[in-house]
Amino acid sequence: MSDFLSLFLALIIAAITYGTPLLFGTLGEILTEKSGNLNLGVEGIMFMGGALGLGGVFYYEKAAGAGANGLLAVGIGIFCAFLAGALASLIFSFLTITLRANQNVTGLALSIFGTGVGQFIGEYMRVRENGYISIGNHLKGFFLNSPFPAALRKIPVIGGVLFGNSVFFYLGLILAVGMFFFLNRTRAGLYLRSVGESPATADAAGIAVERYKYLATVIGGGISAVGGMVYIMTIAGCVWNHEGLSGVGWLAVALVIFCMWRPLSAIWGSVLFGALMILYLRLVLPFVPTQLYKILPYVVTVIVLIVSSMRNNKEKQPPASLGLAYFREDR
Amino acid sequence: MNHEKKTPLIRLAKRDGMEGWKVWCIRAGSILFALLLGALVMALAGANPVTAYGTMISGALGKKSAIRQTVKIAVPLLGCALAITPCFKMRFWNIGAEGQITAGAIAASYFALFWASRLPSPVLLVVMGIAGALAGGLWALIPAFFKARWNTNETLFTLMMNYIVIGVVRWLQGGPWEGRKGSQIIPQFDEAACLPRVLGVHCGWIIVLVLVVFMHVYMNHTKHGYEIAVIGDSINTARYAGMNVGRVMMRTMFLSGAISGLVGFIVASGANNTLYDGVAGGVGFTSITVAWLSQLNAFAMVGISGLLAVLSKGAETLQTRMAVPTSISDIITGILLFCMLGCEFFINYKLIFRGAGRKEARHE
Amino acid sequence: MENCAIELKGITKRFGEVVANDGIDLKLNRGEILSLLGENGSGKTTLMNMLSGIYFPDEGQIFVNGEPVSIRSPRDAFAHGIGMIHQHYKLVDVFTAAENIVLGLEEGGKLDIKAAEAKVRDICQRYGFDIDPGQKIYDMSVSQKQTVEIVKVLYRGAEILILDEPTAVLTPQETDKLFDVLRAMKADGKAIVIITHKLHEVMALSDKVAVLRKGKYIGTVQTSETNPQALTDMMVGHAVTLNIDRPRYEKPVERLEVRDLTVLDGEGIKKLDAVSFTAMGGEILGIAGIAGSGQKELLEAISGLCPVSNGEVLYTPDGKAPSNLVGKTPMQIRKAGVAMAFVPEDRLGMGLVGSMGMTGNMMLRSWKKGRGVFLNRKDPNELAMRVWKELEVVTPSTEFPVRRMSGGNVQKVLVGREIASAPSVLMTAYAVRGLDINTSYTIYNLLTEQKMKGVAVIYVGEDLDVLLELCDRILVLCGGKVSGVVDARSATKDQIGLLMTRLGGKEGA
Repeated sequence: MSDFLSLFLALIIAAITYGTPLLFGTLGEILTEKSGNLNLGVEGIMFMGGALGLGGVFYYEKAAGAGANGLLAVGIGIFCAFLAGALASLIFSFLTITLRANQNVTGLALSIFGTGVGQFIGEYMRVRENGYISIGNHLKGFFLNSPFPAALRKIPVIGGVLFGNSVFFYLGLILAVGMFFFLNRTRAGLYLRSVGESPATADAAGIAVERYKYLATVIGGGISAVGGMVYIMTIAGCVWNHEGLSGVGWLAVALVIFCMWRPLSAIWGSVLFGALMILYLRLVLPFVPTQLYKILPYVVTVIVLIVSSMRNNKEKQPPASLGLAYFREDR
Repeated sequence: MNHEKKTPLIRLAKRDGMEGWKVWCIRAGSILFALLLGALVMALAGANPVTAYGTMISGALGKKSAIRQTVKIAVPLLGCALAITPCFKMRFWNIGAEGQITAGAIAASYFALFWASRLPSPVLLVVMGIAGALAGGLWALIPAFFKARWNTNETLFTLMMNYIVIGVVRWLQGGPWEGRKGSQIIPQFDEAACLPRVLGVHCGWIIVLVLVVFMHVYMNHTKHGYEIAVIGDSINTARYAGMNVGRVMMRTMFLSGAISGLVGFIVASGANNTLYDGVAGGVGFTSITVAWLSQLNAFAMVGISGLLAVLSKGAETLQTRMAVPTSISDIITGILLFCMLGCEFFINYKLIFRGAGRKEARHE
Repeated sequence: MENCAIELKGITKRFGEVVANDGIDLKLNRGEILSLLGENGSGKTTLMNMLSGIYFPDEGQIFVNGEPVSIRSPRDAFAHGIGMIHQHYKLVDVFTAAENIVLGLEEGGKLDIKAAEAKVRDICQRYGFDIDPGQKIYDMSVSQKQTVEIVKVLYRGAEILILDEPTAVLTPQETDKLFDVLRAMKADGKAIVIITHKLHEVMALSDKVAVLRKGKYIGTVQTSETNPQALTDMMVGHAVTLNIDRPRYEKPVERLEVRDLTVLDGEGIKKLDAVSFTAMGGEILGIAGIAGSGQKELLEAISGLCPVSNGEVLYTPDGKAPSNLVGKTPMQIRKAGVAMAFVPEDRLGMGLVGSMGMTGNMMLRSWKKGRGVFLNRKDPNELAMRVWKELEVVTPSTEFPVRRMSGGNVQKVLVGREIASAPSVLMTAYAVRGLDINTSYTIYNLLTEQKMKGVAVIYVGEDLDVLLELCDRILVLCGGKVSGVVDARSATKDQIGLLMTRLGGKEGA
């Protein structure tokens, strides 16, 4: 029995590790979609965040040498990734909001562009640095290890699950709760949601629709990009690994639907999706091919999508104007 | 009183039809602009842009074998763009072509793997093609059914369907269809299951060119095409004209998926001679941009898919000759798409600067 | 002077060549309710839109509290304490009432929804509104949504309220409640303008009545010094002779018989209430009524586009037995020979495909004809050429998208197509909406031509003068019921005007 428990706890911890990049990707996309912008470029954004985050930390370590500060390195990683994602989303925003291009097509173009840029930078650094990009073990620790003291982590049963995760999981938690409060308890959050629900109403009420859309999309893209960096720095072990990263962005898009655009649900949703990503390694059931576990996140998302449209519950719907462009003169 | 302050510096107005030649000038200009930006990227990466572009063009079109490779890349792009055309004309945002290709490839591969010895090659190929089309069509029909019945968001639905079917291929690769144990690879098709070559390239290019003409005729000269155009313009008017919107939606998605499935068959049988999880390889997404940028004009798609194929093949050469990563082609493709998407704005809208056009009545 | 909330002097507004408001003067004091009365298209809403900052007047001056002001945006209007409640509510469905009410206000970053709800409750209590600030909009009835809009305006501190046909969507009980609230606001010193064309409401509620007719200001009277008859006279004016040719068809035959037709909308409200009438071949049956009295639903029900909850439509084609159209598909009904040309407010969207040319739009009727999968473009193209020539449609080619044509030409395409299908029942609604006089006559002549061919023409119109001269009989709708059928050759404008507002009409039919 205790064998089972420890297996289960190990699974949860692994699920959290795999879920954390998704959590960032999803939270960013929730913010974006709340403004009515459907940015399908998350995959590309996360690639860019991963490559630039890794690059930032790598060159910082190279410059600082042995005296590199771990916390600063984490900050640089976050900053570089965020900047990359924000810039990518700025392109998306400019094309869809100002130049009124189709959101689906622009998102897909961003996805192609972003994976290209991420891949290019990853490869380019590898070639320039003669084969291998890697971060020293000292710095790696700051990305991988728990920020809590050992005493807490050693608490039987719950210690590891609650306090043993990487710093990014806790940052993600704070971000999710913060985003919940922003969307539901602040004026700007309310106005942002009104823009995503009915831009014409928001406009009539004197809300600067375009500014909200721009800000939400750019910041949201930045947050999503941090997820890419988290993947590279924790799961991929601080090495550029495009194969591992590919698909994570799309999974984040799925998770947005799965958690019905609610940041708090994104927390457990991301852990669940993380578990589904690695379940095939841990739980081998007869007659169920392990590879099929990997499609479970998409299958449950489709089911959620279908059920929510069938029940037609007003609360559990995509933002009403998601994916639609808004032009005042079309009123 | 303070009229000046209240008038924005730049106002927008919808433009009423621009002359055709101007439109194409703007589009050509945007491509040129994108290539200039691409040159900048190459310069940043330390490659001389002029030699790099030269290398790309000679790499893509310089030799017969190179041209063949380029055509091979263009075929699925064009085929899939054609598949997406009717959906987008109907404003049904099918972004599931990636999955529909894969579904078609699975069905075709089934016959290639297990029926090759039992059927003569021409029959086998026809059966594979039909199976691919049916599988792609049925896969596309699922989201269409839910859209028609419960108005389920088709963009998100079709997107999710991609990864489900790709996951199925991974399972087949590592499980029931695995060749050598532990290889995670499905064996190569029997010779009989491979598309014959014409002029050095698998004959998929002929199928796709036939599809170009078919799609042009279908969209412009058939009752189905007319229904699709009316629904895309106004669902109310379509109902008024006695059209069954849900049925047309499902039928159109089936057709779209079927063409994508056929492309899946062509790729598996003609290009790869096997099935693997990257059989669609992003073609489903890129082709959406091809279709959109061609304004859903079947003939323009030939040109744009050709252009993207040249970029992609050229980038491979660039890597071998100048050690620039192949992903440069994705970057330049992305820039190209951005520029072309953005330029439509200048075709559809005109900017009115403050002070000009004062005579126009203010109305909102 | 001090008590004067709003004054308009010589306000003129033109849209292209159409003069929507022509030198209008108006005055309203605090603590007063003014009714702005006029038929559809008389310019009431346009005038009020200039107060609320949606339009800017071409000529004239607006005074608020005696000061000359310039209102260029809804924000300016709010700054001057003017709030308008439009006919189409602008609310976010998934938000609560309070959330909708505070939308767009700049009161610091933190959202104190509790305080906002308290303030909303306060306003509700003061004027007797009955809404829960925490309730979501999608759970609300139409009248509750309207209340939210009114509270929204009051929350922003409006002293001058303009309501655009607020009772159009309300039940009689809800209307009474609204009027009580408006009276409470009046007692509170607010100035209120209510746009309406229902005379009994004017009499019941307002202190003063200002009447507009065809963009012109007719006059203002004290409600206590007038009566419905006098107001109707002001509103409709004296009959104008239009000289529309009206021949008599020799032997009208019964073509369409509507019996007890009842239609409910999505929310279960009766849009048509047991409507019965007959339409004869060789006759133009006019349908009069204020906007939203069920005209649209009547035509849609007959043509199979909206579900009928009760009643039947018996249609008798030439030399055949009558059959019931209810339950048939729009396609079957059209094939049987019942055509409809409905010109919606935005002209496109129903019956026309904006992105296609004339040929493509002609095809909308014939696309299914012929065997095989291919589209027959030849016949529609010939038809398009014919309509182009005969109706003098201004367009560079038959392939030019109709969306880019001018309004009159779009209507010619629509009406021309329906006539070309050689129907035996031709229904038109607002066929001359927004057209100039010459084009309107072209359409009148077309309809009369059809009538003389033995077609039963149903003409839904807004202009009473036209109805009186074009039609043979006029059916008047009021609140979804038939309030009367009159002979157009002998009826007077007053008579119809009174029927439209139910005064003097029988309830039901």
